[in-house]
Amino acid sequence: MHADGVFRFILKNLRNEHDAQDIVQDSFEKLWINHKKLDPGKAKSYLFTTAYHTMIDHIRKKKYSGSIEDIPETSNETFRDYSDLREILDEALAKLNEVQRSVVLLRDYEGYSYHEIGEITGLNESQVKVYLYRARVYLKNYIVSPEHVI
Amino acid sequence: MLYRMAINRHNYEIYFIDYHEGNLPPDREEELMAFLEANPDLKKEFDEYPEEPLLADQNIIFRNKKLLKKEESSPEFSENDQMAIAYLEGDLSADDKLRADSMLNEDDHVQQLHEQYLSTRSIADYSITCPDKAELKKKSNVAFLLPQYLRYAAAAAIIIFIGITAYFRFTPADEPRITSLPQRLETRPAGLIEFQADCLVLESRNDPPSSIQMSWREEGIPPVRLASIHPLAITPSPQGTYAAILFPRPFPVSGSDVFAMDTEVKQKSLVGKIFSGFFNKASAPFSIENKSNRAGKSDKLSIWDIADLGMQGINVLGDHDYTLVRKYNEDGNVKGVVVAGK
Repeated sequence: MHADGVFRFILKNLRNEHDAQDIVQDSFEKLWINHKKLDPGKAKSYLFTTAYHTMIDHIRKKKYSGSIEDIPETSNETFRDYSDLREILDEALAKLNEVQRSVVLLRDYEGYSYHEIGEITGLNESQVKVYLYRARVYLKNYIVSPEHVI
Repeated sequence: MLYRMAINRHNYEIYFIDYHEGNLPPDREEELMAFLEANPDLKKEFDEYPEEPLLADQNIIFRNKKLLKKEESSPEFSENDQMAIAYLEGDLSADDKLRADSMLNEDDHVQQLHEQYLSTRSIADYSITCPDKAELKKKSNVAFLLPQYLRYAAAAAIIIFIGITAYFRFTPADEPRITSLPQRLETRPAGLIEFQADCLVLESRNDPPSSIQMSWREEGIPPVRLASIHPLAITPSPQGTYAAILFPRPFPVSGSDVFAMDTEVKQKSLVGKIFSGFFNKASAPFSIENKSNRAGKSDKLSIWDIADLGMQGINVLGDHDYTLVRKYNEDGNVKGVVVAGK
């Protein structure tokens, strides 16, 4: 079962447990519907692909309906005292767009190659690499910025 | 974006994307074209990027451009950034990795940069698990949850099928069945002279009942409870005793009928034996059945016998214990059938 991995990936993106659970269930439902057409070794990739696209649709719908919760912006005026690097990184991840965030999470959580991430997200390998590099630079700059220095 | 380093085989993708997205400055375009000439193997990859076929209408402008600006500055790629990320992602060639290793050992700044990029790696929180995983398991493709009426319909179809089969394959039983009684007139109880064809005849494999409630088909005749039962003929059989009990109509009748025991034993087919066994088992629970086997009627199985037979067949095949219980109205006609089971 890859349910936990998919769930963590979606939850990290949406930060809403209920929505993440719905998307995981939706992905598994599609998997069972199409399992005869699938190579058994591709089940995990299929799950992530389905979950990713369902999540993107979900985000777009919420954005369109105006119901998406804005990520609370960190004030640049006050120096925040962080005791946990993970918190800062989570905050930085939340500021990435969903494609860049997904590329980072698929790379870090699941260890997918550029090619595999490309299959999941519909990008080519070069795009994946560039998105990942740019996301890394952004995350690094966010972490080392004065207000986020631990 | 600022391009702090010249195009090379490690960063050409950025140039490709920015070129096709129209974000590459003219001086960098020249650099890109020169790079492509020097690296013709990348030309194919460069050409695979989708071109923008539509030209924007420059007359249409968006007024509130201020709203679109981001607070953060765009990420910048220095050569060291490029190398540190490539090192982190395992994208360096063997030679470049050796070079990067030596830089990491010698240059504190590079070492610090590497550690900063290391900290951008997200680590999954494995304590987070998907709730309700049971919901994700595959459900059975066939939900064998037929509505109750469909189950009864299916059972009825089987009963009818078995009944029809039995009807055509079943030879008349070898048990005595009452038809008429020409030679047994002397066994009639005293006082019972007149008999009508539609007198009720009861069959029992056990002892005759001590009393019975009689209903008559004719309207206006109240039910009669007979406290005294007079068996007209008792015939032993392997399954028990057969008693023919004739009840006179409680009003003057014209004409009479005679009754006799038909004890002729006919050979049954194998199918007939099987169904006969079912039939015997089915009828065993009923010591007295309200079968109005009218005298003079054909000795073929009634529709109820067939139904009982089918039901017993179902019981034997499915290890059930269902019985067909018939409900009669005051006129003696069947007003309903109930499938009863334990």
